Amino acid sequence: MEPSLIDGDIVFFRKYLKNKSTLKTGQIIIFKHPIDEIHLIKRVKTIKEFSVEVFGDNKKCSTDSDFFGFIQKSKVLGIVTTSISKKNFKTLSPFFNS
Amino acid sequence: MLSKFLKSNLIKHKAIKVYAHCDGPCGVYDPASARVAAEAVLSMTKKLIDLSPPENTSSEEWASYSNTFSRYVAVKEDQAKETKKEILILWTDYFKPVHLETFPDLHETIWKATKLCSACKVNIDLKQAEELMTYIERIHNIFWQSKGRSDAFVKAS
Repeated sequence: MEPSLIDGDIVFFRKYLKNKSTLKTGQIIIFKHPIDEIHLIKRVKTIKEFSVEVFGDNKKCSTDSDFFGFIQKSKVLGIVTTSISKKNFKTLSPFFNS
Repeated sequence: MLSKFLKSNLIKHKAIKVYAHCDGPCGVYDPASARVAAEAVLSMTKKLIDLSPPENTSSEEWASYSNTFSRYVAVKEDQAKETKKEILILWTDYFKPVHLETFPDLHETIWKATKLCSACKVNIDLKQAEELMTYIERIHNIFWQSKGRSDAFVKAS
């Protein structure tokens, strides 16, 4: 997801609720991988009634809807609201340990 | 202020790890991983076929036979799953739509190769294990051709 997100960054998200949340193009979402037991983070490209097309900002290296197709909305966990870069988190980390 | 907010949120909510990719360092792909695993499948299949049960009723010999048989099956199944995983990594992460223009049978090849992985996992079938190796070689050739190289398909065994 570079340059938007870099390995180690922390993101906050609000839970995606099937009947309450609204997905918008351009949002970054967290969802369950369609095959593997991991969570992925990608940007919303197209929204259909029951599914979403996602893509990575780092298109050259991204594993996204180009490969696994549309994601069922039921697989979406949350919509990213804020992110903290790894660098800034390191600066803040002394406060967490205090 | 921000640190207090973050601290309280991090304590309240368990953090989960999310990925932008499915595997390791970006851009590092090699069909050799699939080839090594597939060779192990073939080797275990051959060993299972060659393995004969004891001709007597000695419990020690039967225990030894059962142990060896189970180990061979476990390795065969594990390596078949590994082969499938490695092929799927190439398919989903390395190959791009542009490769399909040059290799129109790419999807078909991958599909058949992964089907063979499943078949080799559940069966003890030499023909299928050998066929899997031929598909691994095809994937190897497609992969290196896509990089403008013609690396030879060299087996470890």
